[in-house]
Amino acid sequence: MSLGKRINASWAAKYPFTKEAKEYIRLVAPPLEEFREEDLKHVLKYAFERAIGSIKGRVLVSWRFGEDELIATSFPLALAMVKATKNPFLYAKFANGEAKRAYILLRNELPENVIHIAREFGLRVNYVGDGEYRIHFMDYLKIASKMASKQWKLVNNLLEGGFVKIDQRRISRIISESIRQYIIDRLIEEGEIAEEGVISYSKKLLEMFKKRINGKYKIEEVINKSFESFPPCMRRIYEMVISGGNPPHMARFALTAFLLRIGYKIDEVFKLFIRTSDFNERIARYQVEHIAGERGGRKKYMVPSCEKMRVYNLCFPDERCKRIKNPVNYPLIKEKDERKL
Amino acid sequence: MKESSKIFLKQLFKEYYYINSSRIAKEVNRISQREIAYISLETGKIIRHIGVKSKSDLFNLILTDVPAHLYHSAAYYLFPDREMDKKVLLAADLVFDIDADKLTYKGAKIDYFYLCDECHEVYKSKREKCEKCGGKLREIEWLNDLNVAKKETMKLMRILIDEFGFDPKGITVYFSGNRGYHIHVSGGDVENMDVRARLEIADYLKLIGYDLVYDRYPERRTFKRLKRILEGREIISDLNEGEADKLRSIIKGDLDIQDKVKMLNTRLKEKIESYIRRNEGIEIDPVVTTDMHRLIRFPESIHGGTGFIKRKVDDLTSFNPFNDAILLPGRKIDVYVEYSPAITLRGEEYGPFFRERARLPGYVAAFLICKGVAEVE
Repeated sequence: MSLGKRINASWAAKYPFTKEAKEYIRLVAPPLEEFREEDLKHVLKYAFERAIGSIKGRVLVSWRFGEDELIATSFPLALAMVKATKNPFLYAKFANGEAKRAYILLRNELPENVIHIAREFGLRVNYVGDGEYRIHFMDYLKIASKMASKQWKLVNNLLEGGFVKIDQRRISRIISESIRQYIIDRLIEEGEIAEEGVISYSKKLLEMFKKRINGKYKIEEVINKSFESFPPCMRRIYEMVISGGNPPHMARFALTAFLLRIGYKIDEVFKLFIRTSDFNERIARYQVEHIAGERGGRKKYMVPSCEKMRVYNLCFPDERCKRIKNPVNYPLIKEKDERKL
Repeated sequence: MKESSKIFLKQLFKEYYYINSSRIAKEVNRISQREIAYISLETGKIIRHIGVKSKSDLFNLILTDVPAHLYHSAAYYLFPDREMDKKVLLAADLVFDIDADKLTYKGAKIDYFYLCDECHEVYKSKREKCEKCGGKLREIEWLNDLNVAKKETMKLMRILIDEFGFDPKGITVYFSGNRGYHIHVSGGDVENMDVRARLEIADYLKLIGYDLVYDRYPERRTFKRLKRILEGREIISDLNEGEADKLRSIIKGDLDIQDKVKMLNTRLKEKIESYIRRNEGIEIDPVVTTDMHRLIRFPESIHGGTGFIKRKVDDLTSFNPFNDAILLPGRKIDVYVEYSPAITLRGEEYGPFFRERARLPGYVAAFLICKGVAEVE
């Protein structure tokens, strides 16, 4: 497959993060300073709308004939605007939105194109026919291990010769996760945005989302309070949360109760959840405070017992777990064991 | 352990390490990136966070303070000799541990006896304290068959090669020196897998999180078993009458497997899952596989609890630990044995012993001393 085949406006509009799209944009779009003033305004305005849409999760999956070029160029500009905000909250939301867009497009894409994009992100993927793909288990796990649903667990999949069999929906999900990561990487990499038009729009973005950002929820390095001594169940949920996964409600509840119990402050727990892909500030804060007993029924919630964790399929015991009935006791036992050693 | 016994073991271990240094050093790659740790035979204390620049460094260490147990990290670090949070993890081998004491439900046999430290009375079964003198009892584990662990290891190997697609050249099997086998996978991408990926691998092997509803590919091992169960060709023994009736009625129905699965109630579904887990799951220790910072017994080193060697296994089928892992010197020595069932090492039977003196080859004496049932007088 040659690179040339995909260097065209319609490909670039759909998948603006691919090599071919970048090449296309380089070939057809002049540098910003060479735009006529009127055109520049139009292009920037369009990119601004795109940034807003992606941040809000309202994504652009259909457009009129003839708009391909505009759509293609709006991606790097929207990205630059978001980057110039230097705001991690907007980074996460924008990346989520763009990844969601790619997911929707990929679900109806031709297998040869799906494979082409997957490989661009370093995923070892083949098409096996009948709408099914094979992906190398290590590439699969990089993404699937963050998914909460049981059907993503390796144990519930066909693994043969190092490859996992999956359908178009799931391969699209995996690629879109890689895209999300790629966009995040582009947003946080070194480099200043100097273009005035871009900067002024990025200020507008900050202004627009001021309330939701509110300054105080910058993603800080999450406090690793004795993470090493967490029981395997909590460790798993914790890892899922900090890597931007999407754990089920019960898992979040259990982790929150656990963290509060071992001495995390409400704010620390809350900050942890900023990383989840479906983070909603208002709801998250309410729930954490609720579990802490500062809201609602004023009841301080207990950490679910090991038995309950098992019922919810959240229990992944190790040897030590045999000796406890509640995850809270694990750190104590671990410390004791280590002192013995 | 008496001082005289300790001196004897030290001499014997040191001699082994001196003679075999080059063979031992070959087994662990990139040694300068590994954390080295050992339990000193002299003091019984663990010494961790050691970094060695070269293999000869390692041997200077071993020969100076002879270890009862010697370990290396599965991980590769930038600074192996620093504290845990300052080591900087680079990568880690993937390690599996199969242990006979977790396999009793699959038929592994481990015997125990109990020795009173005060009056030296021996008991075959557990009790609170010594019936004669009220002294504290010490449990001694006695293993004479590792075939169940071996079979489990073979099953694991097949899965690693056929299902995970690992190159057999990158997989090394070792007898652990005590109750089972260690399987090390190294090289390439494997080393770079994160904790989450390792958890998924452990879950896959142990069938944790396995759900019948998603078991729909006829090629899967678990599906084949599920199919046999739901077609009445394989019987689950631990069902109560109601459950058995329910299952029989589902078996009779003319439905495909997926539809039959939908008819199972929660209880029955869980029972079938746990049955499949017992029969298709591999009994690995999940902590060894998922904890990237874990210390692993050093290949070809001596296990201080048995005097056996953690030995590389070339041909698992013919490997006999009671023969092939006995490498300590055989020079004879007089020991006093409190109690010991008969044991066969290197093809020769010794004992049983009961409060008697015996002149035994070094490796037999070492085994009994390590087990805590004999002393050099």
